[in-house]
Amino acid sequence: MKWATACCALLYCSAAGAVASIELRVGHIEGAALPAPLSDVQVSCDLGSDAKVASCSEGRAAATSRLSGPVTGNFDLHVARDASWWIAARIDAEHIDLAATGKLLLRLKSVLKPQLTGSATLQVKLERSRAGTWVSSYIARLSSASFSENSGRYAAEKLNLLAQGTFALRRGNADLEFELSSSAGQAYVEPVFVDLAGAPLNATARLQFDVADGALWPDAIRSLSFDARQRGVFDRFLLLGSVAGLSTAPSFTGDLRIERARLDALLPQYAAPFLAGGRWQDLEGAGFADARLGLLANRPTSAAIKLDDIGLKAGTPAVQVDGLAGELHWLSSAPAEPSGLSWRGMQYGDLPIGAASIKAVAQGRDFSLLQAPRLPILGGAVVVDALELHDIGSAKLLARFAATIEPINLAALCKALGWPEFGGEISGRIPGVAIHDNELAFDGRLLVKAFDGEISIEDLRMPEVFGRLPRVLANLRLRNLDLKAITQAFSFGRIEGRLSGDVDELRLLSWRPVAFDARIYTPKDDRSRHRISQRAIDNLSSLGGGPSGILQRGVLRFFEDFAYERVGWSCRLENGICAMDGVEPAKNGGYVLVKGRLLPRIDVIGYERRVDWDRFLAQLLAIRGTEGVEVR
Amino acid sequence: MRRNQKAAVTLSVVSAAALMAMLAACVTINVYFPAAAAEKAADKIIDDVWRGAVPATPATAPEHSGSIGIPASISCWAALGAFLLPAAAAAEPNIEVTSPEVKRLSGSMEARFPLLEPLLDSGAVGLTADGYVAMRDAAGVALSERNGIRALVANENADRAALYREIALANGQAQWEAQIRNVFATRWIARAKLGWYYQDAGGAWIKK
Repeated sequence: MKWATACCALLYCSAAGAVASIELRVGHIEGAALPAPLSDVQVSCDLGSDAKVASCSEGRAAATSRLSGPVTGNFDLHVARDASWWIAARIDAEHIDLAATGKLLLRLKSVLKPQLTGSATLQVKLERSRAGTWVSSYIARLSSASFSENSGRYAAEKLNLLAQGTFALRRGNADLEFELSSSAGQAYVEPVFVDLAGAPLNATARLQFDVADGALWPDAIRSLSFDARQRGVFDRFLLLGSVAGLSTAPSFTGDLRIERARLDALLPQYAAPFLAGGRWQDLEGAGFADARLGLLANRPTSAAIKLDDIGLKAGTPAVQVDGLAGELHWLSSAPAEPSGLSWRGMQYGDLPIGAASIKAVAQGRDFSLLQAPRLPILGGAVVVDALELHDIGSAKLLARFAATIEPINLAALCKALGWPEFGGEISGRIPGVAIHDNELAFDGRLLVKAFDGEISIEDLRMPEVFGRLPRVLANLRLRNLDLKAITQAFSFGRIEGRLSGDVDELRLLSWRPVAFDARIYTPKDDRSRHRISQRAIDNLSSLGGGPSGILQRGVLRFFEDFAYERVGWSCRLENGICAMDGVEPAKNGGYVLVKGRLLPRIDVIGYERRVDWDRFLAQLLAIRGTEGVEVR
Repeated sequence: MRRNQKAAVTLSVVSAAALMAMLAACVTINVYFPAAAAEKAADKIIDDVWRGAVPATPATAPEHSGSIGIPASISCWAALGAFLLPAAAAAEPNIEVTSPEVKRLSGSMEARFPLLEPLLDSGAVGLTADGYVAMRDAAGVALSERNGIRALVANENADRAALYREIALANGQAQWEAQIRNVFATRWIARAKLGWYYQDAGGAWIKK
């Protein structure tokens, strides 16, 4: 410690009875033990003593430093003959410069290299009793405080913060209470960003811990309570419990509760940062929720969530649920009381799903339904017979699902999914759906009754169902469909007869086909009437790049339609190119799409074998759009 | 010869004994990882994604032989396979990058690039040594914008991971994924704009 040479130490005693006054003035002090040089140091008090106790009372102290500006204080100090002592003091610092304090922290060997700006005031009251109990209270105000450190993971800007509380130390037991409130500024604790101006935060906390001799920091917090409120976000966030292993790996045991969380504010602030880059990153919500989580050494042991008229929406195509309400219960190692959930409506893309409710039981990583819901969809329903999930949250996730489909209007379903509108209805049974190894696979086949025939969907799978590129793989079997109904649905021009087909290795990306190996053909044993209209022939011809309107010239224009023996078309779609073929090769290198019968005999021959799929689809849709000229 | 230096992967892996047995039976089909074709394919995708932002003339390709970490012993066996098998059976396949999945992913990255470019320019985000992007220096970014950038980086990396995987799958060689990622890692850096930051093998940030 170096005392400045220019110092002026003034020591005088004025004897007034038994009391003497002492005053010490030092112009400048600096030293390694001091965080910053002190100047204008003044200490004075009235000295007194009796047989047992010496005192320095009515004390006043003042000093100025670069860090804190002028600091003033007063104190009463008593020292007894048996070496016990007690003190009451008060310290005020009105102009603490946080930038200078930050530089001081940089000089210390701290892990963080913080940069601070802003100012603060501090008021501390300190009392030590003769028995060695310390009691203090403090009020600290930070204004326009900014904090950043080199990793960029923690930062605050223009923060106004009020912290006040008490600290008591009795025989090694510390009791810290504080209250924090902030109503201006922004804070970032990766990955959470909080704008406190829009959502002011108030928190109170109480920590009780043991201070071992010689240890600066405790290793455990015997009792912790943290009670926070963020206006407009949640009414109450409560943490009650204890923390062990503070210096190594902190582990919390106790309860975490959140009361009346407003999802519209909570999700973007506290959930979205954790969902970034994932499937549910655009999760939006509305409504209120309460939650309670029990933790044992950081591991969840119980959870309860109460939902009150919640709306949620996420993903593309958007999955949406409205009017979600109910209570969820979960225990890690015993069956929890049943959970019940109901909703007013759901939406997948444009597909509406009606109100329903479920009852289920959850335990550990397992979940199973107690009561099967009926999901009303477009006049029909999906009745869930069973739903079980095992090892939720692990790569081994196993899901079992079985359902019965009550006839659903196919035209409405196609419209909702943005597909061409087929007439008919879809029904059947889903004997099982399992999610295994990140792949969702349907057991058995899905039967669609449409166009007076059957379409069965087999080997339906969704690999990487939670991945970046959700895909659908399936094989389709089309059996004895009524061509007249199909061509009417597509306003393609009338073709009468039956149609079967096979679509193998169908692959959908975002519900659009990107690959398949398809053949459609007149079934071998088809005895129905085979007629094809002029317009259908015209359209087929123009699709293949051939001339249109040729039938309207000459004698053929008097025929409304023509007989055919069989029709057929195949397309192997790969990388945007469809390799086309027909029922059989034609003489001149083409392929037969429609093989005529009787007179006047019309054959439709295709020549293009490699067709750009997107262009082909555009042409097909253009045909649907035009009315065309049908000869009658 | 170039082929001898080139890393090779056998369809049926891995134990040397099994490999030998198969070589003896002459049924091993060696599919060489076509590093040169992969570079060309990577450059094509990078040009699409960074459309107009990077110089059109390709930068000099770094020496790629040995950059792909295949144990030397396997290379030897593969070379032996190439010797035993007719040349046609060991011919280099091409790298297919026209699958709908690859197009979807590169399209999504291209759409994101206008948001990513200013961050690469400013050095807030840099190119990592393993074919991804990462937040490099958050100091210059406003607090309210940091999460937006985190999400952008996370989405870009999810697309990139899927892209490397999908290129391998589109070529019917799922085991090429890591090699394709390595090729992309060097090509992203080789084609980066001057002034962008990238990570060297030791993880240090270097300004190009």
